[in-house]
Amino acid sequence: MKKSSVKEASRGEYDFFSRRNFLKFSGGCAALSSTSILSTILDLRLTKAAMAYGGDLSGYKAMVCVFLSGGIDSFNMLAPFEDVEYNAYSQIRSNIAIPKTSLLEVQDRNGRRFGMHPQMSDLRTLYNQKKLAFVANVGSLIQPTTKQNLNTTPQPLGLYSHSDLIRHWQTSVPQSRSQVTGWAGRMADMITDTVNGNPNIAMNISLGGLNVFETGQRVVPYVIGTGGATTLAGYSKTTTAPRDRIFTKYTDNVLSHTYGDLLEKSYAGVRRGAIDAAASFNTATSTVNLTTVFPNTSLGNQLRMVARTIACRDASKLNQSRQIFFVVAGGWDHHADLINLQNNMLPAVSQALKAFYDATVELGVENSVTTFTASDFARTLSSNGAGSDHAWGGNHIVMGGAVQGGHVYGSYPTSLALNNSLDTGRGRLIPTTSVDQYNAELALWFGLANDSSLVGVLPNIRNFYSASATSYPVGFLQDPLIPV
Amino acid sequence: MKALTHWLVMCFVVGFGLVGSVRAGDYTVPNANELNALIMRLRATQFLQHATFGARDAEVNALASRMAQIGAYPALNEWIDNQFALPVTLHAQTIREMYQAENVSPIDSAVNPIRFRYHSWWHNAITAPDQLRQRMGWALIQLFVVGEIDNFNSIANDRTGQPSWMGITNYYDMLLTDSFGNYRTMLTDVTRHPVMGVYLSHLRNNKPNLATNVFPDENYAREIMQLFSIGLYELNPDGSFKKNAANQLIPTYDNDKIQTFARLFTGMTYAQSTSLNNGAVNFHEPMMMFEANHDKDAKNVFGATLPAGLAGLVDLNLGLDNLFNHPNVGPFVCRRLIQRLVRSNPSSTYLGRVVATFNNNGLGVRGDMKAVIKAILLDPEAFDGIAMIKKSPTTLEVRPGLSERTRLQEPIILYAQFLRRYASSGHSTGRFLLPSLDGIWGQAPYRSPSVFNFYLPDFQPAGDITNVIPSPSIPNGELVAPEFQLLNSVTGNAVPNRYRADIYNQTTNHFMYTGATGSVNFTINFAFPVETGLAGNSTALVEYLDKALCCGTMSNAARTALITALNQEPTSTTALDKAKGALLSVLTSPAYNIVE
Repeated sequence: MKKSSVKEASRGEYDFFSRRNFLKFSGGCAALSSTSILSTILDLRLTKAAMAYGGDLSGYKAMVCVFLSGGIDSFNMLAPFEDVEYNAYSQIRSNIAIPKTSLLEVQDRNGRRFGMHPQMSDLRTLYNQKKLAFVANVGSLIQPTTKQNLNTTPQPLGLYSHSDLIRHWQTSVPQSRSQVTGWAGRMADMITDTVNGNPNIAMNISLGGLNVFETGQRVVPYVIGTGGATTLAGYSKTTTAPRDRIFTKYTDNVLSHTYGDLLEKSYAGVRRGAIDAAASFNTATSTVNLTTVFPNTSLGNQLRMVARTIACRDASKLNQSRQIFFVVAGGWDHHADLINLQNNMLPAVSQALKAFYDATVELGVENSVTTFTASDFARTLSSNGAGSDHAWGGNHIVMGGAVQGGHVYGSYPTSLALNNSLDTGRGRLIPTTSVDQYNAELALWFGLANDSSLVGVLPNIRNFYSASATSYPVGFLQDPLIPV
Repeated sequence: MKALTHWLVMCFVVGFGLVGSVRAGDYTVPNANELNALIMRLRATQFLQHATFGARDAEVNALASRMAQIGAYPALNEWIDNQFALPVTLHAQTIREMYQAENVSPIDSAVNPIRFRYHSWWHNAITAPDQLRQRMGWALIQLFVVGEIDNFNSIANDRTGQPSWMGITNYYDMLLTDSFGNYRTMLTDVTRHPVMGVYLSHLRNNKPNLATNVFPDENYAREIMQLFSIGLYELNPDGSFKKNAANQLIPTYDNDKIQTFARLFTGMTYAQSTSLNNGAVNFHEPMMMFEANHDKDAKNVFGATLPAGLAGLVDLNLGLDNLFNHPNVGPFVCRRLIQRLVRSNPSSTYLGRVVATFNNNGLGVRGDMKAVIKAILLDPEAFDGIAMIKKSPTTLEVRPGLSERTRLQEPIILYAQFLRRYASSGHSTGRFLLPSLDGIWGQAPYRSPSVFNFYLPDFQPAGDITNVIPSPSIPNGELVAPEFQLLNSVTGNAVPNRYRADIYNQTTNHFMYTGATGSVNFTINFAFPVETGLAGNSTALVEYLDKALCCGTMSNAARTALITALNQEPTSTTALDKAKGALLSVLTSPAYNIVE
């Protein structure tokens, strides 16, 4: 009886807030991180304060995370172009600098010139069409950090290691190695009941396998491949293969029994849901006809599947009004042969992203889909001979109709010279925009409110962005409070 | 509402179970002797599912015969004693044998030597005679969790001349070695192991420096309390939460206590270092203590104060003694072990008995793991997940337990069981050189995603389990099912697909590394001679699968459904195809995946 009343009281917008989940979650969080984070996440459940940004979950929106795993050397993706700045770049990079004459020149809103990597001509087109922007020197931070306070402020665990910094980008809790949920997962936990009408297919969809970024307490990413969802092999009511016929008949029968043991019942329920979800997902996406041609590359095929999935967002198909996608392009750990490898690999990124943008135009959702890159870290500005080593802050791409493109956001260093004001050694730059700020911009655009819910998703955000802020944290997305 | 749901569930089971609902399965045999033999066989199967990586028919039959011969309890007790007496099958030794047999170097990155880490795990799970110890090691690594991080994957020798990547194997072997010892030994060994030192960052942890405002890392101090020993809230010996006057849970520790223990875990670094921060990586010897870097102040631990000025290792041992003697350790640790071996929701009486054994093995010793293992595996409640009712001298009703008495078996254990029963190595050495396979079911040796393991001990899958009120015998009034954290819309299909490919193709190639002439693969082969031999008689085939794989817990309805599907096949369907279809069906059924 006691429990019933608790349940009644919590039944509402979010079943998430039920006492059980509440306790489970709070226990889990105490486990996961510091008490201050715990208290903020608890706040999230109890407070629904008035807010500057309204938590608008209307309409359709999708975000697409393109994870460039291995740690992309992003100061060659976006290099300086002004003479003094380029010379410092050229000097510190020595044999891994790109010749100025090869760089693709672009200008920011203030006329400052930059050089995009020569193999990114498609993306330069989008930049000039103001559908794409860069955010400069982004990296994982716990709180604003300078060279002066570097050793006296808390810093991300395991700086410069792949596993730690991949985790930090995806969790946004860089003080912890124990975080089992990612920021997109926590965000989905909060909103899925409102925006996902599909009981079997999560609003977080991954082309890159299970990942912490999209994993929440309740929401686990729906993992698909470039050909669609993983179906139950051999399961077919019309199969003519004897063993599959036996298997199909038995599976249908045994998953429909009434089980007294709730574990058996739960097992049967998940299995039934998995079978039906994969079938319905593939049925829906297989009917999509896109005229946009994608490059036949790993990233091209992943993004083509994302586009096909977005095309099925409607209530009659997947029934999802918010979707978060995770795609992976790996192999950026260029300790050697950096120049050649980037020349070989960046065309695939440039072409696939451009095709994906074109596909969103074709689907009429270009203003509702924002694509962004993430990566372990950037790399040392100084050369190790023919490549570069693990570093910290780096440059990232944001793309879509909602992006206020043709600009370099954040703070691109005015000098990349050795021992510059951000250099912790060998050209490892202290980030000037935190991953939290970058993520917060995306989360607010996606429909989160700048209140305790944002803090629940990004526990460190108040170190960078005020609850009473009157503009977006970085500014690359169209800000509802600021007229365009 | 909730109480009603629960009551209905009870009614359903008790009321309809007796008249042949989907819950129960009946076996009729020619005479009373065979009925007793059947009971022994099913109980032996159930016991071996708790104590090993899966039972083979010969092992079941041997144990069942012994149970008939000297009585069930003495035979099971004897089986455990025999397991206790077996030498440890160490994974480092298995790895050495493997790379020597392949004639490759363990520090040659071209042969992807880290793969041996998984090869040895699977090979030992499948073939090691000391099955109970191997199963305990797997349970313990899920308590004292470490997972692969970059630091552990260096393909170079460490200070001891052994590959760095084998450090985490050394940690696993330490748990195997300690698994029949004392829990207190584990606390020391885990705390001082450099792999844990790196994983939870107390390696090179320095004493406070007030002048620069630098304080010891609190990571290990927090996790050893929260996850390895006492947990977040004070517990009664039966696992129920203690409450304060305001009926609220009582935290076991506060941040001051974390900071105190953080000071305890200072001064340790790689063995053979010249100072705290100067020394080569050494993942094979316990961390050494630098007195100058160990906090020498008094420490206000649980109900006691460690005096100032103690030598580092003396201080450390006293601090661990203090933690070891905390009354929460028994209920906290024993519940996790029961969850790994027997069931997700031990009753307060079951847990209470195991905790009493943990607190005192009968000879005044606390933390005796041999006694705890026997207490877990031989408790009556370890068997009452299956009720066996003699409806007549020749008819047995086998009724699986309620939600409170079952568990979703870990996918990796189910797969090991499948391999133990049906697989043979296609490799010239006969070894099982399998990869981690974590992409299939989200669980693999050395691949815990964080110190919180693959699943949380109190995880509840969405749906009925979150809503039902269990019987009063379950502490704290809710049911949990941790392993469900691994079961979702993706793994729900991917796991059956793995079984299907293995069973249908009867051979699977697993990539090992890229050699000079292309991919070098390991081939594993599968055969089903018993099933194929029985396939001419659908009932015999299904009953065999039910007894061998499900401990007889398939309901009459489930058995009938499979028999019907088999009998509907045209005469052209081969015995092998029937055997394969039936085996895949059972391996992916609720009765098999939920164990009692």
